[in-house]
Amino acid sequence: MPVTRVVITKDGKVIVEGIGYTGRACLKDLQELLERLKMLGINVKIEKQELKPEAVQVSTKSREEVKIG
Amino acid sequence: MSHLTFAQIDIVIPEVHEARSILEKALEAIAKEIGATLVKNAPVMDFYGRKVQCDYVLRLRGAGSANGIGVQIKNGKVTLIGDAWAFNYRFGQNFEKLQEKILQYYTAIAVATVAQTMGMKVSNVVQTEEAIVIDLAR
Repeated sequence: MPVTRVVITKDGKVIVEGIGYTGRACLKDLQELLERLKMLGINVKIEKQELKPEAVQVSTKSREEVKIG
Repeated sequence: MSHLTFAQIDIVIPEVHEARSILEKALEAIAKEIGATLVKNAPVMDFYGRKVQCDYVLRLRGAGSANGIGVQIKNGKVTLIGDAWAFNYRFGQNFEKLQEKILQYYTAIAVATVAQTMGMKVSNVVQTEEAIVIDLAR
């Protein structure tokens, strides 16, 4: 089951982690979450975003599959 | 695909019912933590002994009727009014930390609220000294 983990620190920082997603669904959920938070006055400014190792592996595999196909 | 995103938040609480409702839930949670009662549209004495009308007051138990911490929302920003020294002496916290906590709780409750509108479910919540961790299951 895919999980979005949101860590809210007391000094106004937020860390969002997508866990167990496939494809770009995690980024879609992140985008929707941020848009809805904005409607409640919470403006989230992304400072850094990393794709996790399994995401890179999935992307590489997908590219290889495309090449072969 | 999985990601890790680091971000900074800036909060300007809008004049809409849902935002006010979330703010009230955040203040109620804090009131419970510090043993206070949350009162709406009430006066509080500031540091100089002046009576100031506030949007909310965290009324401290055992204190006089005018004592408490006032919360005002001005242009969407949270401002605290009251005797900061007494609050620090009694609860070991300062206004800055309390203000941070209000915004942290506001954000946490907002995340849980909007996640449900996205069809996600809050599967786990962990609170530590430093952070609140919320897991949203799809």
